[in-house]
Amino acid sequence: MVYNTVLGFVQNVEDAEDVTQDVFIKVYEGIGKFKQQCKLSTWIYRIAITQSADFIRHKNRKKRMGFLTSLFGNSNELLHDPVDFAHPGVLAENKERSVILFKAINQLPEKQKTAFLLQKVQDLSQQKIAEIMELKEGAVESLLMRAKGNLKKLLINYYSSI
Amino acid sequence: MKNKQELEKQAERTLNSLDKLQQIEANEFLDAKILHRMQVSYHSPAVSQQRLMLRLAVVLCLFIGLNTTTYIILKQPKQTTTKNINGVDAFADAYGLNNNINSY
Repeated sequence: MVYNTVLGFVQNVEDAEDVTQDVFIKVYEGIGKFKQQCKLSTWIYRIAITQSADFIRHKNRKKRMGFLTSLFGNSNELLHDPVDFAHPGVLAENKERSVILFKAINQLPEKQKTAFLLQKVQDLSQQKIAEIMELKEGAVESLLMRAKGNLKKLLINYYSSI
Repeated sequence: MKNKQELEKQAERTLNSLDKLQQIEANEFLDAKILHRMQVSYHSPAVSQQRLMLRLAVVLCLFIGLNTTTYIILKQPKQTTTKNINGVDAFADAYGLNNNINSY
């Protein structure tokens, strides 16, 4: 559950393993403070999403710093372009399309991305997503609709340009 | 030139490419790595506690250092010179009544 959730967010197998470890350590260290205000699975999902988001922010910051230092000639590091992510769980006939979809997902606002990934990758109900994101069900429904609308626009633009 | 319907069809198919996504098993060594990290975390003091103690120690040293320096500075005898001015001379000076021919 944790690994698959994180994999959908960070879109890299090695990074997903690292973040998954961090999630379990956070759970282990924080279990004493868990006050059972929600289900344990909900709490773990929240930690997984927070850790994934922190990891992505940290990675993006490093990329920006790398870009700046390369401008001033302080670093000989090559700037790495993000590798296309082919989710290992995708059916073979959908692999290419899923790569394009994940690129589009990365362009969504954070909350829309979270709701969409929880629904598509973890196959969670809107009610469960609402519990995890601490939103009302109506708000989750709205996020999902906007996410799908935005993704459709991005994909149409992509296909019209190739 | 692709028509709009074709593009929407393509977009819809891509949007549905994650349907029937299979859950993936993590690397078999991941469990062992997590257990190892948990054991390390359990047996050694939390890193955050160590950092807090270090910060408190630095603040305490600074506090003591500043207080000691201030005490030493204040304890030094003052080397200011005082000039005893005669009240009459001061009055004379103020109204230019002294005998100094160069005073104007």
